Amino acid sequence: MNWVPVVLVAATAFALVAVERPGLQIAVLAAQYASVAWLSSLALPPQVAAVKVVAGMIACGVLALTVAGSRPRNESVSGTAFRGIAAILIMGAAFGIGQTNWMGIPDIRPEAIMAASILMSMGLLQLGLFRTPLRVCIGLITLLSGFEIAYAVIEPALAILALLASVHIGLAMVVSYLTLVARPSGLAEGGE
Amino acid sequence: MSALALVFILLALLAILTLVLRRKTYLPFVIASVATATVGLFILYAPLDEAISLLGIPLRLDSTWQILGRPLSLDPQNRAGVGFLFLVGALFFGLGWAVAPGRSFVPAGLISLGLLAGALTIQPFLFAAIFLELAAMACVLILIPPGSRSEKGILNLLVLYSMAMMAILFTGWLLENVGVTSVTPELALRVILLLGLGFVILMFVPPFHYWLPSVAERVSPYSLAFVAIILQSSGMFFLLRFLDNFAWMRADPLISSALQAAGIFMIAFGTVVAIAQISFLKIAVYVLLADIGVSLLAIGSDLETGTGIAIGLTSVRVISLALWGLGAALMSRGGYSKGAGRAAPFASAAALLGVLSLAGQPLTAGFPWRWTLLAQLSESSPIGAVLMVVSMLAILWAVLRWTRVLFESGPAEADIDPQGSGAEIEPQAADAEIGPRAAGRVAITFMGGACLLWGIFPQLAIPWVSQAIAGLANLSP
Repeated sequence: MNWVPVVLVAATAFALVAVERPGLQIAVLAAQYASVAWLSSLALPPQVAAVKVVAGMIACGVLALTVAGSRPRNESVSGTAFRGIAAILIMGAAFGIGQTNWMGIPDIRPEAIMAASILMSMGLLQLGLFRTPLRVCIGLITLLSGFEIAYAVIEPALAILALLASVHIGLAMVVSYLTLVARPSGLAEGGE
Repeated sequence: MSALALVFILLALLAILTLVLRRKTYLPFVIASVATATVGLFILYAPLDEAISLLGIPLRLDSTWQILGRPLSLDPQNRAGVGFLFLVGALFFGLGWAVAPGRSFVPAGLISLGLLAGALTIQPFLFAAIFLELAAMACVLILIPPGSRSEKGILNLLVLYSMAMMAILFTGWLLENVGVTSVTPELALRVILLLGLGFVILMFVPPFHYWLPSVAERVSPYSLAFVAIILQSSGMFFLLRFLDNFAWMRADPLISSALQAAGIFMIAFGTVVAIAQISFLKIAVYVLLADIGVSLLAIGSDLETGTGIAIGLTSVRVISLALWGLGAALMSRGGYSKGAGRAAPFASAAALLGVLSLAGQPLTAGFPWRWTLLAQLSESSPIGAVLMVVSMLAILWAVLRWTRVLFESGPAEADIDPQGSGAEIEPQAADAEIGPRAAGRVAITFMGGACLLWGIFPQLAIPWVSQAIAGLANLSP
């Protein structure tokens, strides 16, 4: 049963690389947040893990409003096939890395280390592939979510959880600011 | 009553007030400058944890503030650093209205200072990384005021600080809970590598500096100077706290070697790229990297005396960067082309003097601390000493070359590089409207005077440096 959120995490991380429509990306991101909270609940009390869902939904809400207000163009830095193959390769590597407790965290469950590996790898892939504020933000959120699954095992304090949640919301707000209040640059909004 | 609670409540109110007043020309700058100067002095000198009487009212200011179960605490180790940040804010806010760096400068600057104060005061201090990440986000608003063009370099800043946050948080767990010491060499190496990744980002060590030059030509130089100094200074104080708190780190020769190597690399890299630079605005960025390299070399060469020199260099870097930022921002209307110096001689001279001070040329604020370090390095690291002298001479040559270009007579040209490659330089961001000329001249005269004054009388910085060193008990001579 605990491998279900790992599969969900892998599916959403893959979709975030492959999908081009901004609205759909945000919906997938929301699903990813739910999966991450599910995985975090393996180490945290469910009501505490729910903080991640709440923060994630706020971040998704901010991003959704930003997309609605700006209508960003799709970023065609590379073809869907290329991104899909890259995602499969990186995910394969992440599966390999995730077989062992490479972070050396005691008492971490295998599902958590696998999901953390997948999310961190796919987040880095997104940061390498994309250049628009929205996609960089989603890449960063994916990377941070992977880190937080592992970090929740070693640091379950509510204050830290709240601070990390504020990082997600802050990222979404900064990207919203850059998209809506600042003038988008040609490079940032138009792809290459 | 908690002193920090007072400070944070005041900052929140000020941020809201200056946000409301953001369209006023000078009022938000004056209010923020006076308030942050007061807060800075309060943090440096207020009697904490003892009964006092204020206007006949008995009062006790606590040094600790509990929030969400975590204490934020003002202690001797961080008071000088936090006070310094607010005094930097007071200086930049006070002079800012002369160059109008953007409507978001003051409110976002106040938020950044608050977050950085949180970073330096949170206990355990390892959680500071999260506050640094949040401060980097606030700095985005300073660099990109409303209506300005969003830049890719800004996203790079966020990505880098996120990575630093993760590396430092994980290291913090290893240090606090796993019990890493010099007798656990495998874990110690892991900590050093992870911590190294975090700090090379916080200290702008190449190649993790790349967000700086990529935004240098697109944002107000004044805003960039402010962001660079507050982020880098916080990183420096954070690094010193690590060294002060963990004995095995101070004793590990790998750490001091790594600091020296990073310092030497930054000096060499910054100098080479600065002299080969085709953009006037990017020169200061690379000279800044070389200057930070000098600080790292100082710490790495001798923890006890080097720490004082690094703190002294941090204090005068504010003056150098503020002077450069003022000059470069006031030049922006006319561009940085051949002959631009004749159109704006005062501003051009200020920008050039700021770069000279950053490079530690004689008679400028940056010189005395470098001179002290040179005397120390001549015995412990002759290579470092020679490199520093070569760097100073090379940057002096580059500045003289730019002086010739900026003050050259003849018809004005499009912004060019001094080597004549013809590469065009972007004009400044549209939002950075220039304040009244007289205000600019007053601000430049003030900072130019300060630069020379601190160059001739370096002892002016000694009281603050002494307080900062005294707080770092294990790094004090």
